[in-house]
Amino acid sequence: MSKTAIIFGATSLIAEHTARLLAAEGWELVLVGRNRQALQVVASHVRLTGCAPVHELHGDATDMDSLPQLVESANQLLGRLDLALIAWGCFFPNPDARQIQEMERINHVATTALAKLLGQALAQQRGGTLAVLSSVAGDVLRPANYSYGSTKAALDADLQELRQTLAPCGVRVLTIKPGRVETPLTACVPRSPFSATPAATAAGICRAIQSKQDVVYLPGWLRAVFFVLRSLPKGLVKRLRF
Amino acid sequence: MPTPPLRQTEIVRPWNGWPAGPQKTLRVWRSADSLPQPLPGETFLPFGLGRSLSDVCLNPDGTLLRTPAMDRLLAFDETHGVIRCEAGVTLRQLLEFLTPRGWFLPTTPGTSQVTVGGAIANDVHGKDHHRNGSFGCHVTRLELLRSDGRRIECSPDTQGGLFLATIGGLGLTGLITWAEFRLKRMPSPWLNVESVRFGSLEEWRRVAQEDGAWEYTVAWLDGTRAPFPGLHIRGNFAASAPASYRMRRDAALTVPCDAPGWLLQPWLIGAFNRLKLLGQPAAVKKGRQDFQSFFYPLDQIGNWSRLYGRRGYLQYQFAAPHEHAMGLLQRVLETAIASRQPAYLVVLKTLGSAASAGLLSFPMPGLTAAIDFPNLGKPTLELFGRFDEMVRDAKGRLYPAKDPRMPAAMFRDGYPEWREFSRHVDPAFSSGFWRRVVGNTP
Ligand SMILES: Cc1cc2nc3c(=O)[nH]c(=O)nc-3n(C[C@H](O)[C@H](O)[C@H](O)COP(=O)(O)OP(=O)(O)OC[C@H]3O[C@@H](n4cnc5c(N)ncnc54)[C@H](O)[C@@H]3O)c2cc1C
Ligand SMILES: NC(=O)c1ccc[n+]([C@@H]2O[C@H](COP(=O)([O-])OP(=O)(O)OC[C@H]3O[C@@H](n4cnc5c(N)ncnc54)[C@H](OP(=O)(O)O)[C@@H]3O)[C@@H](O)[C@H]2O)c1
Repeated sequence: MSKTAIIFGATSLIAEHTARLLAAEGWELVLVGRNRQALQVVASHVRLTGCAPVHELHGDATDMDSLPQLVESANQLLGRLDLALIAWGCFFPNPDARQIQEMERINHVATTALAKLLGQALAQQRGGTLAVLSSVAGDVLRPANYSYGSTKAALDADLQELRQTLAPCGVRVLTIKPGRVETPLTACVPRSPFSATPAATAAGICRAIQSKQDVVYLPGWLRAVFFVLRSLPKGLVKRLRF
Repeated sequence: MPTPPLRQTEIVRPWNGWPAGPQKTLRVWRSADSLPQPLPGETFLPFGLGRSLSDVCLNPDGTLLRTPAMDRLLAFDETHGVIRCEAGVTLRQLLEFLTPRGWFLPTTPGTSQVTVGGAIANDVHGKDHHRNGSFGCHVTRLELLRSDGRRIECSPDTQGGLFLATIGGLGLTGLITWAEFRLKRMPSPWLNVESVRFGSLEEWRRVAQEDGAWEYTVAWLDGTRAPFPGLHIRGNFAASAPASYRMRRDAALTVPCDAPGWLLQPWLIGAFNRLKLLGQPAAVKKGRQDFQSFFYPLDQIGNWSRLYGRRGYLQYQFAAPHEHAMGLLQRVLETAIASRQPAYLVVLKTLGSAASAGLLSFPMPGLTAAIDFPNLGKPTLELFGRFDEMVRDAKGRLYPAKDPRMPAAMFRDGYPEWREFSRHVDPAFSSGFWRRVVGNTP
């Protein structure tokens, strides 16, 4: 029987590429997104190139009121769930108060709320993986990621709690921490020569899903980089320009 | 309010490495996205994979619209062989999807590392032009996104004028967001291939006259010595598949940076090509090749053009009608030898009489020759200037996709419909090429 996954924020470029890879391996997918037209286009490619059914579910899961209904519809479509992936996120450089609020709402509050709901569903079936896109930006807070970093740091903390709660039920919580990826999210800041492609990041996500890791850095060497950065004395970090 | 899209700065080089430079770029992420408002004085130009050997894909002082994320297949009619996809989809990507399903590209250039948008905008041709015409002949519809925000679906029947202008339209009529085109049945991934040695241009002509039964033909010749010996290669898809086929990875080897100037000495290239040509002692060799080796022998090595060093190389590609083509080729090659810049590699293709698909399409019934030269700067440009005269006398024309220095007069003489074409150019689209050949002419 083919494996099943639901992807929230499926129009994210990273999520889209992950969906392509999963579908090519025969996973049955439910793609959830708030932009119906974009979702259709994403799904048409995944459907053509993949080898299992692909369902579209239109709705904004960051909207608390429509959330339970969406999760219910997904359950009906798939039955048992092997993987739930939350990929949405938003980023504003030099955010104003409203933008800080929006990042907090999407990256932290809505993500954690959905993660809890999905966690319960997985716990009921006693197994499965809950994967969430966080970011290395949550590891070391720096001016370039003002507020974005702290929303991801808060998300990381919530995911750690959830991981402990769900472990006894056989549910794995996977925190995914990419470095810079070339997607619309970061098109508003100057390019980095170290950017990864969404395809490479998606390949890393698929490998991580197969593994038993709790927290994965993409590409993998970023784990060492951020370990060092996290260990530096705060007084020194204060003076770093990066 | 959404943050306005930031123009990035990147070093962009066309495939031949010259002219390269910093360029402003913007990414278009999906076919449904709208274009940003051009800044005052700003012009846009779509950019695919930069496999052109000229400034048709460059827009110095303007902004390139990059499309790598527009890589989605939208619809596939497996019974009739019709596909619709976003314009950033590469031919390589299509081959991976199509060939296991028994379909092939309607026609293909010598590399699979080009986008559908690029293939349409240069109306590329392949080894089968005499049979199947150019890529644009197979396009059934496409969508254009104009700088004023309009989306225009064009086909030969609706918006026919704009459609004709967009095929071979050098990216100037707007951004192609998606396209639909007809495919070709592929009985197997293998081709029966025959390679015939010839000792002179005259002999090549006789060999090529017997091409009737062959779908794909091309000739490679050594331009360093008259009477110009070479190999004529022809292939047909084999009827049945001996075994299933898995496509090899492209760019298994990649040239990481520009080679130092001394590496690719002319004599070295010459020796390499002679080895290739004379490596076949038999007059006729028959065999079987997979489609990757047959159509895309160079895709195995990534960025091979960097072997030519920082100044890159220049290709001189002309098309000319049958009655003048052989004489023209002979004169061009002899002039090159006389000026001590012999043509190490010459690729010849026969162009069929299929009606040209677009207003600015390059192919014309006759012959096309593509000739590679290391870029020595001034001497090479002077030599090309002399070729230009000969091409004009032979009623031929040059390929915009391959020519970063084509003088305005050569363009206007070669493409008399350019005035009609220019009426369809999007007012906020331009390119280095277009400004050079048309300047400020109204
Ligand atoms: C090894 C090699 C072999 C080749 N062999 C052949 C051959 O056999 N026959 C042949 O005809 N050509 C050949 N070419 C040339 C190549 O096929 C063309 O230059 C092709 O157009 C390159 O496609 P690209 O995607 O890289 O486009 P680019 O080079 O990036 O752009 C080419 C043009 O397309 C336009 N364009 C790109 N995307 C869009 C879009 N979405 N909407 C509108 N306009 C767009 C650009 O503005 C530009 O004018 C060869 C090139 C190489 C390097
Ligand atoms: N790109 C990077 O460099 C990078 C690095 C580290 C981590 N990440 C993380 O990776 C995840 C995926 O991002 P991406 O890079 O793939 O970016 P992306 O392509 O821009 O995708 C962003 C996704 O978030 C959704 N979204 C944005 N704002 C929203 C809102 N207000 N309400 C509901 N949905 C919203 C978008 O939906 P619509 O399509 O409907 O707009 C889209 O699905 C994010 O969590 C991001 O933080 C990215």
